[in-house]
Amino acid sequence: MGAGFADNSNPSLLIFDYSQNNNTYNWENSLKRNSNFGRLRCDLDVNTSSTLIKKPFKYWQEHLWTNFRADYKIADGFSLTPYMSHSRNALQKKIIYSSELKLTMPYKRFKYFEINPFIANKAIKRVGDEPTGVDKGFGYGFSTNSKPLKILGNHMESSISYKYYDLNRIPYSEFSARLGGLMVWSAADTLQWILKDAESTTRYISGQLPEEKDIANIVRQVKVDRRAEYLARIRLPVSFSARLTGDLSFISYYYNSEANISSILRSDNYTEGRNFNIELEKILFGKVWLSSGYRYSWSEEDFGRSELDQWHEMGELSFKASAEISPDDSASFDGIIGVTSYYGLHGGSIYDRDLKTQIGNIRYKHLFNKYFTGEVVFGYSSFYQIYTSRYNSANNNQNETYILRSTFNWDLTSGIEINQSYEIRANYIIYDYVPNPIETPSRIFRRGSSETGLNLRLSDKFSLMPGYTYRYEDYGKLIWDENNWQQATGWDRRYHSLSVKISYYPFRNFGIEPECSWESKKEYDHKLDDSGPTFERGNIVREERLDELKKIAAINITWNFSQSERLNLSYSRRKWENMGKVIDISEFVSASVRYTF
Amino acid sequence: MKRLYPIILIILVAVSGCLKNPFDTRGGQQPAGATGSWETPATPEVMITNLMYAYNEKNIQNYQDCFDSGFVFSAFEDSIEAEAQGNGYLFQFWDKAVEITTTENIFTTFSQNGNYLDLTMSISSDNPDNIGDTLAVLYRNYTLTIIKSDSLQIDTTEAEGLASFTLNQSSLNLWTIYLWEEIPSGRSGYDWGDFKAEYRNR
Repeated sequence: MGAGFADNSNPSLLIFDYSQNNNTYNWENSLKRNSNFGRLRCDLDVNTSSTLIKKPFKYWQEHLWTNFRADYKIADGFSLTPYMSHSRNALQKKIIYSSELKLTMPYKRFKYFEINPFIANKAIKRVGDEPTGVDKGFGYGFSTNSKPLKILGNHMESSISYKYYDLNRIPYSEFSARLGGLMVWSAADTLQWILKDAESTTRYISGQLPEEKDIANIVRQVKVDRRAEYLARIRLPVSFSARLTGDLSFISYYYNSEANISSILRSDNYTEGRNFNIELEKILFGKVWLSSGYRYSWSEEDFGRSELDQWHEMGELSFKASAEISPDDSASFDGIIGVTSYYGLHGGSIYDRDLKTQIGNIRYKHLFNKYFTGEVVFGYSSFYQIYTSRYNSANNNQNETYILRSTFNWDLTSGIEINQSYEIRANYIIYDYVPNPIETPSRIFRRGSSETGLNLRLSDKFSLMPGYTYRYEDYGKLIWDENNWQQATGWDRRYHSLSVKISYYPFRNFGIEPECSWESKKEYDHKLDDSGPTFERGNIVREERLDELKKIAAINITWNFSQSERLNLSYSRRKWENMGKVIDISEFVSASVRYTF
Repeated sequence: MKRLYPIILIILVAVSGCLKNPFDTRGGQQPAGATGSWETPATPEVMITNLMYAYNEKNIQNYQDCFDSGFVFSAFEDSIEAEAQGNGYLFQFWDKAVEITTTENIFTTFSQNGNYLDLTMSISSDNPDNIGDTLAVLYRNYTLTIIKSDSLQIDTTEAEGLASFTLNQSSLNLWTIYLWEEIPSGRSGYDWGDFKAEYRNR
């Protein structure tokens, strides 16, 4: 139907965006122009985008899309809305031109509803690769929306729309209907519900030109999409409140072909689903907030192919709590535990599996004084995958992660701010089936990191922001030996990053932000020493496998000519070396202009 | 409020049969196959290797773990070739759920006797990886060998092309893929996106 008409939140706008790196060029331009002549309002929308990739071969894609929509008011509640659109979509030599002319006549003078009938003409021309040719035809349809209406305490809304395009090659029709209501007993007690139905019919002709078309290759597809949703909010006794949401859905595709086409996409199928969620909430003493919920999800997919059809079921409990312990202390907790099960629809499948999920986070924040705050976070997650079939059960494993993080923020003076954070993390992947301890697939990954950031506001116009990050990581096998987990480290890595950013705004509307950073990464393999004297063999030695340095320089310039005009330019250059040899030098440039009428 | 109770009661009765124990899991049979290959995705390159192994080993759970919850698959042919074939919306709204369902269809089909799938991936020298601290874009040339057989014939096809994978680092899963863009070969060839599209449920 095209874009909505101009209003204060949808101003006329001109945008030019350009960016390039060593291999790719992008252009994105658009113009939105809105005009209001009293009885006549017009919207013009023009968009162009181009992408050029130079290597390994030139690849060029262009897209042009323009549309014009007007609204001429003939009388109160009755207008004419002509709409024109044209698009050109090109990928190398393949081009699709698409044009549409449409006339809509919105009529709003009925008491209970408004109606928008339309007539249209559409043409799609394909050039280049097969199938080429023109697909064109006449279209018509309507949409109606009910006006605000209250029935049996429900604030009702409804809409129906239908359209049909009689294109000579791929005709299609679409129907949709929607009925919804909102019941309000008080501000805290509401029930919102909605029923939706969407049906579409189209015809596929594979390959041939219209004059050559083989009737045996015509496939008719009917899609039916039906949904029902509800949302209820209720205040319960003892100051509990509840939120219930749920939905039912049924999506099906029906195919009718005159030939027996054995395509996986061309068989009748359906997907059915239902979900519901209940959450209970309570506030204690105005300082403790508690919430708990249960979520259920079920779906069934039947594509008429016994080996692919499946259904799944999920049950999940969640808990959340937060409390203001004292004026300077606050804490929160959230946790989830749930199981998702997958089953073959017509009996057992080798992909039958359960996934057990457990996630928990605890946060504690303390205000030491008005200049210094600290926060500690502990997180745990566990994903346990269990294949029931023996063909896949060797993959059954538990993936556990532990995270401990602390963050401190210190406003040293009005112009100096320091941020410091530390994090340690451990990720265990423990397999149920371990053929022998040494060849175990179980793994452990560990990471420790420190981040320091300074913000030095030397004046209103000038800020200096240095930062430093250090990270240590190691990874290796996890072996259960002597009643304990032993780590056999396979590699370790050290990462340092030093950066300096300057923000300089000599004028309020003009700013320059240069930035430099150095990133160093070293990786070491841990190997058995098989050289040297016999008595030294078997020792673990660290062998450098990577010594990487990235030097990055960037500058960003922003110029706000006025509240409605803005220019942004940025450039960055990265030099990437490994073991002293240059691997890559890459540059990125972007320019962006915004102009609001 | 009292008028709302019966409605809530109806909702609760309607959903009361829909409960699943969030603590109870099934057991697995003693394994007959080999363990799938999975490394902790501490770097974006490792995640792409995990993707390749999961595909070759047809391990749907490992494959699922490669993707961010907000994952999107995008193929440039959306509006050109697909629409010309009457499948204009085939690549539309291709999120993680669609990716997993589609791949389950592929894995199930190619787990059957006589069918075979082999994926190889290599670094693209023309498109160097761009790896930042929390965001990475990796380009990979790929070749997917597809062998399908029935009682009459064996059909071998190769899907070749270049794909870009954009990954981010999330707090729980380390690196995960959240954007997979198929870059057309420019030779109008059959690529991975075309192959995947054949197995999308619709």
